Amino acid sequence: MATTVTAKNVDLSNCDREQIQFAGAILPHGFLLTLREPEFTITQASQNAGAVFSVDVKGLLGQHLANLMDRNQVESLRERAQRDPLDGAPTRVAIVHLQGKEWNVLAHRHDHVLFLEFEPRSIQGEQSVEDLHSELRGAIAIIQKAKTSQEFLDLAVDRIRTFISFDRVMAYKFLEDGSGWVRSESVIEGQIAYLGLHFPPSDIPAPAKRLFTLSWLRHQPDIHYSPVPIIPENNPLTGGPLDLSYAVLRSVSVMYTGYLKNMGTDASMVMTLLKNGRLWGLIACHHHSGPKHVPYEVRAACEFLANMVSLLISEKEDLEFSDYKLGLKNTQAALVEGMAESGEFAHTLANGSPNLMDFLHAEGAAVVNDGRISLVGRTPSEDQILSLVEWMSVHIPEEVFATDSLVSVFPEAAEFREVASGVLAIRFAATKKDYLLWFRPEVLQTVKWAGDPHKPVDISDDGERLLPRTSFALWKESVRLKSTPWLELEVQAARELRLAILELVLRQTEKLGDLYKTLERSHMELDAFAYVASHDLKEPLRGIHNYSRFLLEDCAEQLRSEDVEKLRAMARLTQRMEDLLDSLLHYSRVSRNELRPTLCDLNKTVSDVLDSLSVRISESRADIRVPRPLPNIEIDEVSISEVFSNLISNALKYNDKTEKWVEIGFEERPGAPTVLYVRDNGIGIEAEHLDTIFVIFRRLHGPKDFGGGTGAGLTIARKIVQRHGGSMWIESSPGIGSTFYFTMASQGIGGGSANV
Amino acid sequence: MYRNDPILIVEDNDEDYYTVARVLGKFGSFPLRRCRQGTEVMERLTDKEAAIQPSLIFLDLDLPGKRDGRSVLAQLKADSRFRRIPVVIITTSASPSDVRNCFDHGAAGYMVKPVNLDKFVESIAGVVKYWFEIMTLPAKVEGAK
Repeated sequence: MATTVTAKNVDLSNCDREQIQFAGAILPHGFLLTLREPEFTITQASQNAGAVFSVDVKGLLGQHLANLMDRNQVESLRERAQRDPLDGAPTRVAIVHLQGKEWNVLAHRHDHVLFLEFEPRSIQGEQSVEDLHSELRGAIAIIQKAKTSQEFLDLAVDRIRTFISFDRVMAYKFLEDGSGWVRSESVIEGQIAYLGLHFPPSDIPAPAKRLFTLSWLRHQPDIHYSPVPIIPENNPLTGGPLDLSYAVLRSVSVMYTGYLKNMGTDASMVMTLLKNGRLWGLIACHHHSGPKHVPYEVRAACEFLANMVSLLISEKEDLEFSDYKLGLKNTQAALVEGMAESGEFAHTLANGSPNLMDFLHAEGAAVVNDGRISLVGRTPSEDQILSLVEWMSVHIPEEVFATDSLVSVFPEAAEFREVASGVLAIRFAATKKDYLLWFRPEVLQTVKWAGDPHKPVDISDDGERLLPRTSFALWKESVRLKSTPWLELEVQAARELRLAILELVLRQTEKLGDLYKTLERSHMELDAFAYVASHDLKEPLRGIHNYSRFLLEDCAEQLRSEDVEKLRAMARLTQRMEDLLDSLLHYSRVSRNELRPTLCDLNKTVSDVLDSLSVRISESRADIRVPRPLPNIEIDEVSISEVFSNLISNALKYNDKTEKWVEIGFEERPGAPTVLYVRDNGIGIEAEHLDTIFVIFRRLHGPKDFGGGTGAGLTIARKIVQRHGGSMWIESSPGIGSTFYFTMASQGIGGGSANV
Repeated sequence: MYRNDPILIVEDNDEDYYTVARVLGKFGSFPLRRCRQGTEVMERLTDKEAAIQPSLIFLDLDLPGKRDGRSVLAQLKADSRFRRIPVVIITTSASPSDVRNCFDHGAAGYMVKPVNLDKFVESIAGVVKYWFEIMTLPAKVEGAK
C-alpha cells in the first residue's frame, strides 16, 4: 500500500518512507491514460480525462483508444509505439486536437503498460523550434567558456533563468553527507538570496533523490494545485498502485509542495545534474509571481542544457581536482627539496616558501618536532596542540589521521573548535611524538550567509521548519563542531608527503650514521690505543725504575752524591710517568666499564665519597656544605661516585682561601634533567681557560702548585658524565670560586620522570 | 712448605723475572726455577727425570704461546696432584674480571706489577711472610687448604 503523507502528519522522518512514485494522482493541467498492449485498451485514466472525452471516467476503462480519438492519429501512435521502445523518459509522440485544444502526447512504457500523458500546448504560443535551437547554442557557447566550475555554474543558472523567465534558478550540490548546498544562484531583484545556504539531508529524502536519477526534469506549473486521482487506484496488470516514476504529470509530495509554498514559490522546475551516473546536484527553478507553465519544447531544451551542464561540470570539477592534485605534488616536491637544502626540517615546513599552508587547503598548520612546536596560520595554542598530540600518540596508531569532527573523538577539542574542528595529522615514528598537523575550522565559521542572517524566520502554518532559513538552522545543528571533510586525495597527499619526508630523513640519517660509525670507530680505536699504549709502556718503565733502584742499592757507595741524586730523580720521574699512564688507562676504561644503574641515594653516595676524601678534607680544613638533601637517582653508583670524588678533590685542591668551603647541591627545572653541582670559593678559572680545563693532562698550574696531580680528573669526570648521556659545564669567577654543573642523563633522571 | 723446595716463576719478561728474583732474595735464599711459557709449566712439573715440586708459583698472566697464565692456573687447579701448590699471580692486568677469575680459580694471591719498587717489595714481603713463615708452622699446614 502506498503511504500518503498529508500536511497533518508531516514530519521529516516520514519522508524517507513515503513512496512518492505511487502518488496515485497527477497534476491537473494534463491528463493520463494507460493502455494495455497490444490491445490498446485503456487500463487506468486520470479523473479529469472523462471531461475531455465527455464521459464518466469509468466509461473510459476497457475502451480501445480508437473509440476516443481520430483513427488515423491512433494508428500512427500505434506504429510509433511498435518501432520505439519508449522506455525511460517520456517522449512526445504526437500532437492531437481535443476539445478545441492542442495537446502534446508524451508516451513511455513502464509498469507493464503504455503511459500516454496529455499536456496542453502553451496558451502563450510555442516558441519556434528554430529560435529555441539558436538560443540553446548561444547558451552552450557562453557557459562553455567558463574557467572554473563556479563560473560555469553561475553562467548556466543565469542562462537557464533567461531561457525560462523564472524568478530564481539555483544550482544545488549534494555534499558527501547528503546535505545540500546552494552553490550558484540567479535571482531577480527583490527576492531573498539563498546562495551559500546549506540544507540537511532530510530536505531532499532518499526516494526523491532516486526519482531524480530516473526522471531528469520535473515541472510543476502551479504549486497550488489539487491532485487529480487515477482511476482505478491499482494497475489491473500488476494489482498494485501505478508506478509513476517516469511520468511527467506525477503529483508530488505534499512535503515538497508545502516546502515550495513556504518559500513563496508558485511554479517550479527541477533538473537533475548527474556526474558519472550519480546524482551530483540539481538545478532548481522557482517562480514567485504566479503559476508558470514551461512548454514542452523549452523543457526539452532545458533538459538538454542540464545534460550539458552535467557533462561539463564533471569535466570542470575533475580538472580542478587534477589541478589540485598536481599542485599538491608540486608543493610536496618543493617542500622536500626545501628541507633537503636547508636541513632544517621543522623550520622549512612551517616558515619556508612553500610551507605546509601551501600544501593542503587548511587555515592553519603545525610542526611538532622533539617537543618543539612551529605554527603557521590559524591554529590552537601550543598547549592545546601538545595535549592533542599526547592524545593522538596514545589513541591513534595510524600514521595518517584525518577527521572532520575532532570533538567527537577528542572532547577537549571543543575549546578550540573555531580553529580546529577538523584535523589531518601525520606521524613519523610510532615511538616519537613528531607530527605534522593541518587544521580546519568549524564549518559554521566558514559558511557565508547570503541575505541577512538576523532576519526573523517567517512562521508559516505548515510548520516553520520547512523554510530554507530554518532548514539552514537545522543543517547548522548537524554540522556543529565539524569542519569541511578532508578529501581522499588530500589524505593520500599527506601520506605521500610523510613517505617523502621519511625517505629524506632516512637518507640524512644514513649519512649521519656513516659519520657516527666512523667517529665511534675512531673513539674505540683511541680508547684501545690508550689502553694498549699505557699498558705496554709500563713494562719498560718498570724496568727503568727497577734498574735505577737496583743501581742505587748495588752501587750507592761507589757513586758521587750528585749521581745518587740523579738516579733518585730517575726513579721519581718513572713514577710520575706511571701516574700519567694510569690516568690514561683509567680514562680509556671509563668507556669500557659496564654500567650498572641502580637507584642511588645521592646523600649516601656523597657521604661515602667524603669519607674516602676525609684526610684531604681535614688537611685543607674546608667546610663541606650540603644545603638540602640530595635526590635519589637511578645511576651507576661507581661512576657518579667518581665524578663527585674528582670534582670535590678538585675543589679542595684549587683553593687558596683561609676559610675554604665546598658546596654540593642540585637544581631542578621542570622537564629537564636534575642538575647536580659542586661549588667552591677557590681560585676560579679565567674565562679563556674554561675550554681547556677538560683537556687531558692540561694543567693550568705548575705540577707542584695546588698539590699536583696528573691533570686527568676533570677529563675523566666529564667522560663519565657523557657516557651517561649527560653533560658538564662550569661557571667560574677568578678569585671568587667555581661551580661545576653536571647532569647524568639527557632526560629526566630525578623527580617523577625517572627515564634513564 | 719448605724453603728448600724451589719457587717457580712463570714470567717471560727478563726484567720482571730479575726483579722478582732479586726482591725474593731480600727475604732469603730461595731456590728459583723459571718458565718462560705457559706450556712449559706442566712439562716441568711432570718431567720424568727432573720433575720439580715447587713450594710456590709466581705466575704472570700474559704469556707468549698457546697457554697464557689464566689457562695455566686453571690447568693446575684442575689437577689433583698440583692443586695444593699456592699460585700467586703477578701481572700488569688490573682488570676486575681478571682478578675475580683468578681468585675463582683458586689463586692464592694477586699482585699488579707496580713501577714503584718499594710497593713491589712490600707485596713480595707479604707473600713470603704468609707462605713461608705463617703457613710453615706444622700445626697449620694440615688445616690449611
